[in-house]
Amino acid sequence: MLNPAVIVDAVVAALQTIADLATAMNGDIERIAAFHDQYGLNVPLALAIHELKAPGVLVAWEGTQAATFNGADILRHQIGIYVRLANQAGRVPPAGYDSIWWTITNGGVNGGAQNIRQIQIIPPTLEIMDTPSVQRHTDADGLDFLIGSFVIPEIGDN
Amino acid sequence: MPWTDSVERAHAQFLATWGIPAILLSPASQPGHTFSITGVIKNPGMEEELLPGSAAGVSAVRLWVDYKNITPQPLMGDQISIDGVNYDVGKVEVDIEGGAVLKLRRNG
Repeated sequence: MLNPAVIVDAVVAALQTIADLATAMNGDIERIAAFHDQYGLNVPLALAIHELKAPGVLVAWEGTQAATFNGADILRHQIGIYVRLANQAGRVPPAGYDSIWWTITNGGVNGGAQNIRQIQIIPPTLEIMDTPSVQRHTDADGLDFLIGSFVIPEIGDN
Repeated sequence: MPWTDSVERAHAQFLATWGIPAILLSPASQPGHTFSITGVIKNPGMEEELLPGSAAGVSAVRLWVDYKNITPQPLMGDQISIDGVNYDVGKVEVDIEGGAVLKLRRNG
């Protein structure tokens, strides 16, 4: 099994190459960051989500499910994408959460035309991801944020 | 004493006792200008490892202000600086006595 931390870092690296997403992060790709569950170093995930600056994207491993495909057992890694949007006041044109999720899932990665759904994030050990999903959430202060989910099947057992 | 006067005195006492200075930065209603305001930091939705209102800053601040006596009144999308840390104004929750809690989120 591939170390999920490696997958998280690869997803972060891919997201950082989406030009329009970098623009949405006020040009600071360091705002697209990984969360690594390092007890004593990282805060708990719930607090990390609360502390996520706006704009910001936090990528975290959510879990790994056992599954079968074509008669073979496989591993499916679930990666959470937490998004807080920048203040849009005064921006022309303003962009909402709908647009930023479109950018994440449709913007060209690694300087190419293919988007993150169309590439193997770690070839040859990861298959292209399943169709991603996203859901709007509201935090304790009544502000919106997104939780997206990438489910990425592993090829074989690495 | 009329109730409204009691409320005014209470608000003034709150601010004199617990108030901290903040700066309203170039609000949409009067761009290009800054305004000094005084607010009281309330308990956040989730406690963080830093003191709200400190120079180190926290991610989210709930700042109570005497909203009806502030000119211009902060609105969603404006920015407020507390101790050198800039925050976006999110929700503005005004109570029936004219105070308001500004829900601020750090942007820098």
